[in-house]
Amino acid sequence: MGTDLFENLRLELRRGALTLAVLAHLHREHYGYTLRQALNDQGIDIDEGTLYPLLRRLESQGLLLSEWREENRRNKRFYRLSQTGKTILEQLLAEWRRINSSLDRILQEA
Amino acid sequence: MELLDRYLNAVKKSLPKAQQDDIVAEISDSIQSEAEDKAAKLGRPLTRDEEAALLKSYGHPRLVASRYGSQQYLIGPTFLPFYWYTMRVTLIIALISAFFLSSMFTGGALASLGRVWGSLWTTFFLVIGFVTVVFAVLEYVQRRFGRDVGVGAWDPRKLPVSDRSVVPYSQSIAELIINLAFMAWLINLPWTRHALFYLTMGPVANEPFDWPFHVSAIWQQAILPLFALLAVNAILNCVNLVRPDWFTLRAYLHAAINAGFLVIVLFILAAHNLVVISPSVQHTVHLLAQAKGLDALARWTAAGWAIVDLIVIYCDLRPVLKMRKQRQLAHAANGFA
Repeated sequence: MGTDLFENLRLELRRGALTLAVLAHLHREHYGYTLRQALNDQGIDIDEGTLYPLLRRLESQGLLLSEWREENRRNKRFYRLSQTGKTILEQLLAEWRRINSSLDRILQEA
Repeated sequence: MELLDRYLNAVKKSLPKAQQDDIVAEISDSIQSEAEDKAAKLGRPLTRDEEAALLKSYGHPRLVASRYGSQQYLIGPTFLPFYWYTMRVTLIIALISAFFLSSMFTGGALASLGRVWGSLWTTFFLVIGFVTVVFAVLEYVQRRFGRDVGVGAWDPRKLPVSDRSVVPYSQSIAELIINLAFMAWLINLPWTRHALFYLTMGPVANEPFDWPFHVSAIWQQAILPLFALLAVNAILNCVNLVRPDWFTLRAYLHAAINAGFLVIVLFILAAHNLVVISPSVQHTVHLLAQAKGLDALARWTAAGWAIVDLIVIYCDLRPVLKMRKQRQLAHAANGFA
């Protein structure tokens, strides 16, 4: 019960943070597999079943651009931030920092 | 990789047609990249078991494909509370109505019990299916076209003033059952010399009693309007289940129905005779006295009903009129402020 509750709350907390992490990483162009590895290297564990649908959703929302290109004799889909994506990312990061500093203050008072 | 092709085929089947090739190509590249990385680390190609384990780590093909769908649920969190509420109310109304409608046309509640029990599950699943389809359509319309299909159309000023103005479910259900039972009983009332027994004992009176009295014709004339009013009252009970907070209009309608009952009772009381002696029986002084006594009993019962009706009308209208007066006073006070 306690573990399930923690897991649900953890997933809820992670959901928005993952979007932010993916957008932040796509300042540089990546294809899905290398993006996942890069996120893993930074300590953000994300499975394929979450990452690829998220990339598609962000692209359909106009935050990402993608193109198919051949690399290492295989076609790969490369993603990067669109202009709208850059603007939204800046706004989201500002919000993230604001929440973070508020939370820090709350925790210091507690 | 034969296993990879089988896996991708299985994923492809469950994907939206327009995106199938694109998504499959991307998943394929991801799996192959990972397989190549693992093979490079091991210094040899992956075995069939290792390939299978890798594919398994990606998840069941149907589950993988489902993550690309736009809608993951039939009824979403916006509609779910309304869905459960509607389901509960509709099931109560459908099951109670099925029972009594059946008893009205099959001659007695006991006879219909078996029939209703037999079709209980059919009614149950029909209602569940119907309500689910309606809400799934509402959910689809809201998601597909972004239209508010009623959830946003509420006004804080129309919420109930207090809990006292909300009709409890138990009350609505009890009233509905009593109403339908009375209607079922009336519709089974035979116009025979045993009608008087029916008025007091219901279907048990089918036994061939040697009873020398008849109810007078006035009762027959009153039955149809009485039945109509009971039907309207049953509809009002159903509305109470759906809108227990419905206050002003409900009070007026309930008062109007009871006023209708009052008119019928007065109409009955105005009749010369309520009980008559059967023409086939010799009119003795003793029988005449008995008929007179029964007539008086029927009149007192009807008069009692009239008084109850008046009390109910008063109870219906009093809070509404009181609230109206309070509003007028508040309005006047605001005007002066």
